[in-house]
Amino acid sequence: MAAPFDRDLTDLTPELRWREWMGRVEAAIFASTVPVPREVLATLVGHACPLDALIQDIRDELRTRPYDLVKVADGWQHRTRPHFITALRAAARPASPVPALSAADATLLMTIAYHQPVTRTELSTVLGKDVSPDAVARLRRQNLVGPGPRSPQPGAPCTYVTTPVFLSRFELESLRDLPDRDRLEAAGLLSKEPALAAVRAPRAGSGDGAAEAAE
Amino acid sequence: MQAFSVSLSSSDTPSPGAALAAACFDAGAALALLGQAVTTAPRHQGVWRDRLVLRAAAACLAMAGRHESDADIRDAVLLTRPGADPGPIGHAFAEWRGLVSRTPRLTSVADLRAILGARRSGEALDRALVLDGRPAPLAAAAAAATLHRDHPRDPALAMMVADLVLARSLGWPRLVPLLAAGLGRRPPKPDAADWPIVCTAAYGRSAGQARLLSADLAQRADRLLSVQARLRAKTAAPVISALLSEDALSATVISDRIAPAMSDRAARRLLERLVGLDAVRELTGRATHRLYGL
Repeated sequence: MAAPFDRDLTDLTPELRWREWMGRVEAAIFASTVPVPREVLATLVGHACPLDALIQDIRDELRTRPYDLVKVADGWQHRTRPHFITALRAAARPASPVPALSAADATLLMTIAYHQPVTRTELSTVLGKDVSPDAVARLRRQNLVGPGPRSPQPGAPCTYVTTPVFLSRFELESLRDLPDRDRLEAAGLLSKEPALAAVRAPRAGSGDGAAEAAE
Repeated sequence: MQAFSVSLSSSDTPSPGAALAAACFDAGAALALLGQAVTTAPRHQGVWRDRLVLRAAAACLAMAGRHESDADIRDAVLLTRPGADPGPIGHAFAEWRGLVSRTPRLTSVADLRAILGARRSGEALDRALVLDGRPAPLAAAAAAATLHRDHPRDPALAMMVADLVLARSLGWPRLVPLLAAGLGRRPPKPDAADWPIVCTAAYGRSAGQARLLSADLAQRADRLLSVQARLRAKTAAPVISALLSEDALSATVISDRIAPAMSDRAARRLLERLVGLDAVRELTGRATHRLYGL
């Protein structure tokens, strides 16, 4: 088909046009293995189309379905509703595409998330036990954390920060959505001051992040 | 939303309308004076804008429950090597800097999304960017309230759009980050009943501070340019122009990006020489990873 892609669909009635746009957007998200950014979705519909209203209409239609359209780190994605997590677990094959984090790794990951940018030495202090380079390397291999700014200390150790993959996997739109940030802050647990050395790790998220879907 | 009148009330008891009018008057005067600094584009405008960006980023991080100092932000920005991620602190700075580098009149919702990332979206932006002829601080206050309603967990977004609306309605060629830093240590939320007054007063205060900062940096810029003759022009020129256009520099940043012909060590020597000539300050007080700025 040589015809150029018709975004505006001016030959359709407004109602049919809206349905077609809804279909295009949902199809694009359905067919993608990664979240689809807003910019990409905007190229599928008319120039003046209110994309948020369109997506809201799609979500309204999905209300009775076991999955939903969810906005994650870098775009929109179909996600199974949290209610069905136990069912998915029961059906899961051992060869799950996402390796589960051990409790220790999950604690480490959450400590990085709340304290970033943070060096390995600082992590050891916060957690009250030695954090091995291997443990950090495991998280890096899964692309959940990456290198951040150098720390202004002797030797300029690398700090670690979380990645968009981290946000996507824990269904966070941004780091502001980390649970209980405000309360941890109020309790003084997010300060990297030396006084923290004696304090054990802040209440970190449990390992099964998928279960912690934000509604 | 309450409708406020900006005409001076004739009654004897101060009404909310009169208080707002007084705040608008003060803010208008401060913003008009600041407008001169914005439109004349002095030599030190780059470093001035960067310092305001730093102030705004620190205030917004505090609103989001993070308590990073200006020094922490500087470290995150300047100690991130190419290819690494500056982390949430560095991103906060980069977003403001991205916004400030554009012409406000031409900054569209699409631009905002490009700067702020796909995560911030929604029609609240479109609504907030429509100007309706209200006095500039009130238009900005209304924009902040709109964004706060739709994105209550993203205080920086409300602050950015408020400053953008202010710059647009004053016809400024550049956005000047003012509101976040002007709100003080315990900033009220944009859904507070007295928000229009609080916001207007914050603009008045912040504009005054920004103008003092500009005057101070103008003196420092003069001092820096007065010692330029004593340095080898070829190597010093790009460094001096970078010192006038950025908040701070490290020796590594100079040899990486500003003057690639210069070695790390030569850059450090030049910066220390400038400190010795009292033309530049070392900003960290550290023995290593030193950062220099006007």
